Amino acid sequence: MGAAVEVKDLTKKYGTLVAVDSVTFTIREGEIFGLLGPNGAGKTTTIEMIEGLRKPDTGSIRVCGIDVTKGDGKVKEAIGVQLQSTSVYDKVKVVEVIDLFSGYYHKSLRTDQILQQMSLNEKRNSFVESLSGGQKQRLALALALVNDPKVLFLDEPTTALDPQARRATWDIIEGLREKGKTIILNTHYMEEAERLCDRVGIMDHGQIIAMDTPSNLISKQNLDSALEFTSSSTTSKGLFEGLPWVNKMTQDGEKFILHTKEALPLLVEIVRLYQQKQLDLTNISVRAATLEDVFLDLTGRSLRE
Amino acid sequence: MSILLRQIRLESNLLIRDKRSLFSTLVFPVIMILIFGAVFSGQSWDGIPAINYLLPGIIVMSVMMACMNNNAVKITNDREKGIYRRLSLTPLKRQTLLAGHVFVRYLIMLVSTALLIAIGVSVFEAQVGGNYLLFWLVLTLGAFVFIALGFVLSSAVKNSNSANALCTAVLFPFMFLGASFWPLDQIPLSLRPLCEALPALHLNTALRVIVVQQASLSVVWHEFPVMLGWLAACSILAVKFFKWE
Repeated sequence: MGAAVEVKDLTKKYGTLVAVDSVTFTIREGEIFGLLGPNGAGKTTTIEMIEGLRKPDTGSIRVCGIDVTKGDGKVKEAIGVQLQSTSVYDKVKVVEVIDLFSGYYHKSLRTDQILQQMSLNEKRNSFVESLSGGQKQRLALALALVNDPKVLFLDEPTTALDPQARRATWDIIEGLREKGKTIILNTHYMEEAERLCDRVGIMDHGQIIAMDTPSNLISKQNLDSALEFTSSSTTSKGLFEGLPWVNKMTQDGEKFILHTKEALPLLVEIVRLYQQKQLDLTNISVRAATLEDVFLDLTGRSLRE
Repeated sequence: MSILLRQIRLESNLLIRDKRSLFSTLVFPVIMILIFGAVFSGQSWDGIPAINYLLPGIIVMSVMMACMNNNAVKITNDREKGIYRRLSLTPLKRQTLLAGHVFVRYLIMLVSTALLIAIGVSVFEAQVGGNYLLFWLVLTLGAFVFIALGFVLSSAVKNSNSANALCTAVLFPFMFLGASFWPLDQIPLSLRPLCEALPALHLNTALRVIVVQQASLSVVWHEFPVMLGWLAACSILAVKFFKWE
């Protein structure tokens, strides 16, 4: 499989602020790649530069072999972008706007086919303003697919959707990967990143600080199992961090997360300490580590901020 | 169908389906001509029936509303909603997008003008002699001045409400100082230099002189320099400051 997107030494500065700092990475054909990062990490700017919306200061970007930095717009025929769903006219009909967008491209799919695929056929003659949130998201995705693009950019594709609609959208996205499309996903939902992404890149302060499959990232950071509890005692910190089974401890205010490969012995010890020292300890739970933990460990912030 | 024609069809549909903008560009000028025509019927200014002054004046008002107000409000609305951003990710060329937008504003201006002339003539017996080709030429020049001004104003504001407010704040002085509803000699001498500097007065004068005196180009062209100056200045500013986001 070749490379769908190749980014090399990509840099973008706004005055003295370095938004994107000499970033280099490759996205493989047919993979779902998630770019995660807190606000201000440079994620959005990076994606905009790959889409051709913004011009980089230095560096090169190739999408499906096309040089994006040339600025001749050739890349637009090969990509599809799903932006936040309100970026369409209110008073056009669903079928009209799909036809309109199809007409912009040299090669496009049949409107009926797209309406069927996105379950929008019943709403074909409805004005965009009358669609529900979920229907608008599906329309936004439909518009990203009119030209049957090789590379798709999805920006928060399931925000504000109910769980059922979210799962349906995930199925559609996985179906698109089956068809050989490369998908670049921007999301704040850890579940979504874990479920959909083949690989994930974590950005902070303009740089890619980690890039791998979700499970590799979790094990690389020695996070394995996470024992969580809430404690307001100031003595707690030193006490827990020093325990032998603890690989890593992260603290978010009064919430403590102890990462370990041996959850049970650690749990037993915590309970013993709780009884012995009458510690203020509540909401204890044990779970597997997630991308959220990786994120918190690497950036000190949570995905959702 | 070529992409430009599709854009024109889209923009036309959007305009017709937007009841508020349709009202302001078509219905409101008609209401004005009916009111002013009725109020001043039988009156004469400089020996000529008032309606012959008022009809061009209200036509100029409708030109400004279609080419400046409606233009700027739509641009800021589409920009605010992220529509331009979405479209910039497609192969649609910016020139094509703007051409469709401008063409439909020009078209609705023509429709409005025809409607006003029809009412002026049938209801108030307005005289519309003169060279129709010249009338249309001058009208077109005026339209483009205000289209360019509309683009400039759209880059000065963030959302469509502000755009509407700003354009209205420009529209009213232009109409009043431009002598749309009363002859120039009703305006105090101290304000005249200001009036002469504005394009609206010259458009009004040019159209009136064609309709009332059947003037030819050799007379009318005196009104062109100020309008052309505004067109040039606004075009340069528009190109420099137009915001797509």
